[in-house]
Amino acid sequence: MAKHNEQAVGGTATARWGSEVNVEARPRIEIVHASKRFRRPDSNETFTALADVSLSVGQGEFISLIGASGCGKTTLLRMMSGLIPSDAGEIYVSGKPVNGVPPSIGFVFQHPELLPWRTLEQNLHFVLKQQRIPKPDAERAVADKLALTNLEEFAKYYPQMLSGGMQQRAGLARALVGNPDVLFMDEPLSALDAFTRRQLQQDIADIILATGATTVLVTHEVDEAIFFSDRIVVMGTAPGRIREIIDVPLPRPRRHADLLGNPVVASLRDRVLSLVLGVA
Amino acid sequence: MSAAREDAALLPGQSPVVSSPSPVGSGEPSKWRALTRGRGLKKLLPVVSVLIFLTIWQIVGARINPILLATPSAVGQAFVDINREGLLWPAFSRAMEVLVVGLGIAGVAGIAIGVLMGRSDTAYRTLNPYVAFFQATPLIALTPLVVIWFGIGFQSEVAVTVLLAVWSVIINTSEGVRNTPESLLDMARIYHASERSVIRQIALPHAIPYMFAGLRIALAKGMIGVIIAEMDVSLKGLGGLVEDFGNSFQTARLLAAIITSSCVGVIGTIVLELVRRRVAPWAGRSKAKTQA
Repeated sequence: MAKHNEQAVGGTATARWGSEVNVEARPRIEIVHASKRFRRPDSNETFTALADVSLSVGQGEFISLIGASGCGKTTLLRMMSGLIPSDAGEIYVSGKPVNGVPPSIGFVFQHPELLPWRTLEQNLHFVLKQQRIPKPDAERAVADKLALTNLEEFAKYYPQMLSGGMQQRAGLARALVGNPDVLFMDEPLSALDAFTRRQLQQDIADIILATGATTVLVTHEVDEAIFFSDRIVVMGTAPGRIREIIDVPLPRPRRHADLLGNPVVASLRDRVLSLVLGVA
Repeated sequence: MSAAREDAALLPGQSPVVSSPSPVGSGEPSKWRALTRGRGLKKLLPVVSVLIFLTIWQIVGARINPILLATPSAVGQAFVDINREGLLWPAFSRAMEVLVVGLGIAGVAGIAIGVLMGRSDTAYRTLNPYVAFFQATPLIALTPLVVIWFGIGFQSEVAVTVLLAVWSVIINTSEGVRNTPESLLDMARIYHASERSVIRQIALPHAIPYMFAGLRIALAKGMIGVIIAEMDVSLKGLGGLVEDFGNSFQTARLLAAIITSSCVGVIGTIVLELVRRRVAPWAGRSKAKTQA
């Protein structure tokens, strides 16, 4: 079960946080009693979007946030990535408190959010330009990530010329081009059809494993969460909070084909669904 | 609108052969449909429409006092005449010059101010009252004042053009920048994009269709500026011709001068569209956010 982690960081042994004891591995992400209130748009009333959330994500770990709409999973993701501040508590990424967007993160959005007036490679260069990466290194990194996502032929294409699945792969390539330590994904596959989604899940899982990035995925697909995750964080509503954290005791990398009819998957699915539906 | 025609074209039992044109509304709707059915014919429709209009104009105009309305043939003759007299080309090129310089200044200034207002809430709140005020004011009334400032001549005409044209550019540009999708700005924040990067790579490209919509409105207003300024101020150029011919009741020449000014506007519009296609091939036709 620990085997996959060696692959995940290219040979450097890193224990999965929580299950094995490793004093050197400090969690990549730490959320300590974080909460968030929002004002209702039509009045001065506020409501609690997230109440007292604590969570640790280990190096190279893949976790999914899942829950019914309104459980604050996207809010939590946006707080971790520094897009919105938390009201109380602390969030640490790579050991530093999050205050604005932390360095060295990647983000895959629900829609690809590629610049329509830039080609794929220019879209990737956008990231590296902000980091002032020298041109030759940037060229290499862009070519590398386009190859990793199977898009090298389409480097000079504009995003609108590509299918939704390819655009989202380009979104992943951009998220990874700066070799981030942490990757955030906000329902990246929800706009795709079921077959493309499966194919892309496989591709994305392999790519992320190869890069070794710690990953937090927001999803509302139970099977997707099981396929990707080391742990599934099931969230509840009113107020948004963590209900339960479920281990996925299946080695990574995983194949969709291998998981078909797997009794572990079936029982995990039941467990997660019953929690989300509130019948547990 | 064309859907209805296409439906009609799909009706069975109709001969696909296009019959010779028959008078409209003469109780033969099926023939009329047949006429407008073919793709090629649909494209010809504007030409046919203009020809019919000119014919009616010619017939009606011939029966009317030529001071009230000149016929198309008289207007055509007037074109030949004023061209031979050496009046047409200088007037045309002068109007073009004023328009290009005026619209150029309005474009550059308008885009700069528009981007500033689009990106900075402080700038927006500070400047918006003036923009709203001037956009709503019939600034052509300021022409006498502009003459007091700039004197009679080219400068005044350019100033009037800029004064009329700049506001639509400002409003459309700032609107385009302010409408930059929040999600793209989030993306920029994730990768720590500088304000310069956000403007150059995200906000400006996103605002380009809006800018061109603004420039098109500015062009129309600028044309009014050019002609009125020439009529009121310098008595030169196309406006000068309009004023001269109008005052001396040379209706055919007056119409020739007016049509020439339309041509300046049309050429300007075509040039704008060509530039837009070059600058922003990803954007479809300009979307007007604010109308004139």
